[in-house]
Amino acid sequence: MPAMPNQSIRDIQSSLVKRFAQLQKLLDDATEINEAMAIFREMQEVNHRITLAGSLLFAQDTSALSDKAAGVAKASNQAAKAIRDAAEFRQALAAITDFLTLVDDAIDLAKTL
Amino acid sequence: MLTRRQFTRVFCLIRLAFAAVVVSGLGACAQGPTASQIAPWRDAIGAVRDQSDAAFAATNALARDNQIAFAITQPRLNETLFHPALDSESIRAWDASLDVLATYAAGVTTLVDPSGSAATGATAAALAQRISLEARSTVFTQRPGLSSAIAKVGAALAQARASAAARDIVAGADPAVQSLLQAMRDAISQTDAEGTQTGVIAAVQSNWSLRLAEVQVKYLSPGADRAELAAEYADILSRRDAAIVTLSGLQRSIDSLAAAHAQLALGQPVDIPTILAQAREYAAAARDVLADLQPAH
Repeated sequence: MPAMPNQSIRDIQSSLVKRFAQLQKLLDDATEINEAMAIFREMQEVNHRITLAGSLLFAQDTSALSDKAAGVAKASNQAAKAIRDAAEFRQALAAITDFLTLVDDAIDLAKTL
Repeated sequence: MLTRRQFTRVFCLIRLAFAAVVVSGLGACAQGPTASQIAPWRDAIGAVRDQSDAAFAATNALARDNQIAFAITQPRLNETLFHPALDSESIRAWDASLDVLATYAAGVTTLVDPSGSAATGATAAALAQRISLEARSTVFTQRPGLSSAIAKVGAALAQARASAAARDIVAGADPAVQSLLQAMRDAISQTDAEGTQTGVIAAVQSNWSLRLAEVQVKYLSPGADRAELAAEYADILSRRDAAIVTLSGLQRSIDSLAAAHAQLALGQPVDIPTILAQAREYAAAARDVLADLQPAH
């Protein structure tokens, strides 16, 4: 079954929320126990559906997050590359120092021959 | 004592040692985010994760209790009656988005960490000293502060380079960060043209209202202890408000993260420690709401 569009679910939940508010108002005004029980039972039914609709909305909204997160992940990769570049640059400087030390050692050794 | 010619020769060589550092630091004029700014932003993401974990768990616990009460009014018992308000797969997708943001912030924090630049400066100074030795110069022994000065200059240039790179990365990432955070905010709740809230907050609101309704019905029963029920009603009202505040607080934390990132992207000063403190406060409140919903053992 194809997923219901996000806006349609949102509209349904909005209608249910309004219906729930009406029932709440009726209960606030109720003075008789049987009437109150009947309203409460309908409120349970509506609440169950509001929760289901909320669950579906959250599922759809969060499933769309991964596409948006991809743009942020790209920036993470750029930061990782910049960190690698800085480390490589540092290593290059250290390599030159090591090379010069090696040259000195070679010259000192040559002098002893 | 070095002759003027020897001095010139030695310093030419030393200049070579960190010429590459200088070149790498060029173009790094504009101020990028500092580690002291971006690290608290990363920590605030962690606090938002704590906040959302507790708020979502509280939402599920609340809905579960009402589902049990609803199930016993139904002719048949089946799984569909106990669909979680927020399913685990969706919560994982939510957490994964926060993880992506945290990884990004950690990368930028590492990039602008002054210790990395200090290491580059120290390496540049070591190279300059080595070149000086190569030239049979005693300039470093004659001037004890020279090595430290070169290290500082090298570190400053390396830091400028890292800061410029971070500035470009943060500015480039800002549209994606804003889009992601806006989508996360909307996943919590949206308000339609008529002012009706939909989403998770709407579900939490109606679930708490149902608990209030249950007390209202009991209140009308013959022989009800009205004083006790009125106190219970007042208690549920407080708990409902606290639960709503944790979710709207989650939205406010997300808004603050988005606003702070936009300012970082523009190179503007940001009061992130306040945002972090706020997110931690909301997280603590969300944990309290959750603890309140846990069955007593």
